[in-house]
Parts: sequence; structure tokens; C-alpha cells
Amino acid sequence: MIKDIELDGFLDEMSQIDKFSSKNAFKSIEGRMYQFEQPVVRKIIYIGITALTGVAAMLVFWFSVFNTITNNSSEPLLFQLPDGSTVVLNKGAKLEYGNNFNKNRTLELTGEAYFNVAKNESNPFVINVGTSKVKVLGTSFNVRHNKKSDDVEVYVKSGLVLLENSNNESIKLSASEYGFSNRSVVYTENINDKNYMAWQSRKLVFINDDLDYVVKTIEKVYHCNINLHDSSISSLRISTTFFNLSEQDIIESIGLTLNLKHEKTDDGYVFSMK
Amino acid sequence: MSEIKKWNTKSSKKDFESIFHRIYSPLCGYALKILKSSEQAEEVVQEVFLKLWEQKNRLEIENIDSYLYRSVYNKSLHIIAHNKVVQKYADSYIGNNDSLPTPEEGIIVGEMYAVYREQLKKLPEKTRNIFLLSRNQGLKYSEIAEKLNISVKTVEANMSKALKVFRECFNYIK
Repeated sequence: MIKDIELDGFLDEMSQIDKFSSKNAFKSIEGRMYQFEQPVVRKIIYIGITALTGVAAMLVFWFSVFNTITNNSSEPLLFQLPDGSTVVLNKGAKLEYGNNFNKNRTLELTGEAYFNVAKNESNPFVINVGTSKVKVLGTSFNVRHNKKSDDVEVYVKSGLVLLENSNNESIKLSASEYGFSNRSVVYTENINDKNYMAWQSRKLVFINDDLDYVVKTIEKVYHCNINLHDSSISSLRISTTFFNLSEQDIIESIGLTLNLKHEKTDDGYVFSMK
Repeated sequence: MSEIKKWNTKSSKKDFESIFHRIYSPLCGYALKILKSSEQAEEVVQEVFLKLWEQKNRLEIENIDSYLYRSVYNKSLHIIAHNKVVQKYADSYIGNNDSLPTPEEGIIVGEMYAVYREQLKKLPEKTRNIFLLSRNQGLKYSEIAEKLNISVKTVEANMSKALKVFRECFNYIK
């Protein structure tokens, strides 16, 4: 019988190896492999087809040209794709897709975005995000990618979504389910944040929540910094709904409700006791 | 699917790719033990594969695994020698290659890894996810329970189920 400590060491070694993804590595060396290909075409034929290749290359180039949309503002950016699908990009999110998007509905995403995909059963909509992939037939859902950890979080509002990691392991997510994926795992997740989609809907709901959570939510949605000058106020509770308000209006409203002083700073706001 | 173990002048890109996907991760794990850097490990392994591709029309290799582990070993030692000048920790390596894992040891671990992945695939999805969250993501049982909305007891039960499978498989390999 093997000892537990040996098994532990063995499993540690296995998970160490798991961290290396052959799929990504192959992509990166594939480009460098072509330099070693031997020319098989004889010279005369070669010249003959050069003209043709030129035309083909131009076509390939045209179809592989990527359109890039980036959202640098802290307001969400609504955008319509050629197939009629709509995307809302969060701050810092970037989307890339080819000119042949109507034929090949594939795009690359960095950051966070909310999708409402036009239904087309015969032409799947695929989002490459980090090392993971999100496949859809027609539905609305949210994708959040953490570039540093390569973690991908998917929230499905309606329809059915397939989330796949680089090991080709996948899960099906249906309406109101959350999925999580990165290099080594993919699973359905339980997220208890009623304001998860607030960045896109601009609707913030608080039900007897403490100021600490309220402030963190506003920071995430409005991309600003809010500090609590007195730590004792972080446990004050609040129940309210904000819809389509500016961050300034929200800050003022909270200040009035909880009887707190608020000040504007260089990069955000500070709450303190009166 | 039968594994490709030989390489000759007729080997195709498809063969290359299938060897790559089979052995890339364990090779990196092996190089990591020598180099202590994931980045350098991946670099070395990719270089070795590119070299194989570059010389594909000239090479006849009876056992590709052994060739690759040996190449990674040699290339890694070369890099250590290079690093030695600039890196303090390399001192322990000077004139002491005995403590480094040999290519043969690397092959054994690589074969164990293949069995491990196979067993992993056979686990029920829930058990596998719990196991990977604990092992690969380093989460605590309580954190896993919260993430998956299940009880800590369920996490424990699934973990011991997975560990039992791996204990048996490890006993068998040993």
C-alpha cells in the first residue's frame, strides 16, 4: 500500500503538469513551423500560380481583416454586430471579429461583455475568451474574463450556452446559471450577487445590505473609488433601488439616507460621519 | 487510439501534432523540475519540438518519448549552465547533476500522467470538478462548498471518492 504522503506528492506533481496547456502551446509554435516546410512546387508552375495566389491572398486578407471595438469610457458601450446580435461592452473590454462575420460568427473577447445573440441554429456564435470558448445558438448572456488568472465567468440570462476550456471539457449552462472556466476546470458556479448585471442594466438593488457591499457595488458599476473614512459606518444598512442615475446622484442619495457627510476627491468620493 | 512512438521520414504533421498533445504537458513538468521556471520550461520544450520538426526529413527515431525527454534534459542543462553565472540558486547545481531527474525518470512520470488523465476523465463530472478545484486551484473544502452550493460533507465525500480511485491506480502503477 502506498502512504498518504506519497499519494499527495504524486497528485501534486500531476496538478503541476496540468498547468501546461498543449493546446495553446501548439498554436504558438504552429506559426514557426512553416519556415521549415520544403517548397514542393516547381518553378515554372510556381510563376504561373503566383498571380492566382496574389488574388487569393488579397481575398484571404480581406476576409481575415479584424474589426476591433474597444470601450475606453466608463459608460457601457452598446454595439451591433453584422448579424444583428448586440453587445454591451464594459469599461476596458475589447472585441475583435473578421469581415466574414456573417459566415463565421466567431469573435475574440477580452474583459467583460453582455451579449444578445441573434438566433441562427445553423451558424453557431463562438466567443474565444482567454483559453476558453463560449458557444451559443441564440440567447443572452454575460462573459467576464480575468486576464491575469485566465478565469472566465459566464452568466446566462436566457437560452443555452456551452462553455468549453482548453482541455475540451465543457458544461451546458441554462437560463440564470453561472459557469466558471479556466485552463484546468469548468463547472457551474453559485454566485449570490443580485447586482451582477448592474454594470449593464444600470439598475442597482439593495435590500438591507451593508454600506460596505453598497460601496463595492457602486465602485464596480461606475468604475470609481469610494472610501469610508470611519470604519464603523461600513455596517450601516440600506434598502433602496437606483435606476439609471449618475454616480453623483447615488452618492448624494446615500449620504442623505444614512445621514453621512460626502466629499469628492481626485479619484472618487469619501463618506464620513457628520 | 494507438500512441505514436516512432518517428521517421514519412511522419506527417498530424503525427507531430498528436505526439505534441500527448507529451507536451508532462515534458514541461519534467523541464520545470530542472529549471524551476515554468516560462523557461515551456520555452525549452517548444524549442525541442521545433528542432524535431526542422529535422523531420532526416530523423529516424525508434522511441520518440525517450528522444524528447533526453533532448529536454540536455537543453535544460545547457540553460542552467548559462543561468549559473547570473543566478544564485544555481550554485547547488554546479558539478552536481545527480540530483536532477533523469530522462528515464521523466518518462515514467509522463506515463503516470497519462494514466492519471485517463482516470480523471472517468470520474463523474461533479467529483472531478471538486477534485480539481481542491488540487489544481488550491481551494479549501469550505470554499468549494460555497462555490458549488453544496455542503462541506458532500465535498469531503467526493474528495475521498476521488482519492480512493487515485490511490488504487497509483498502487497499480507502482
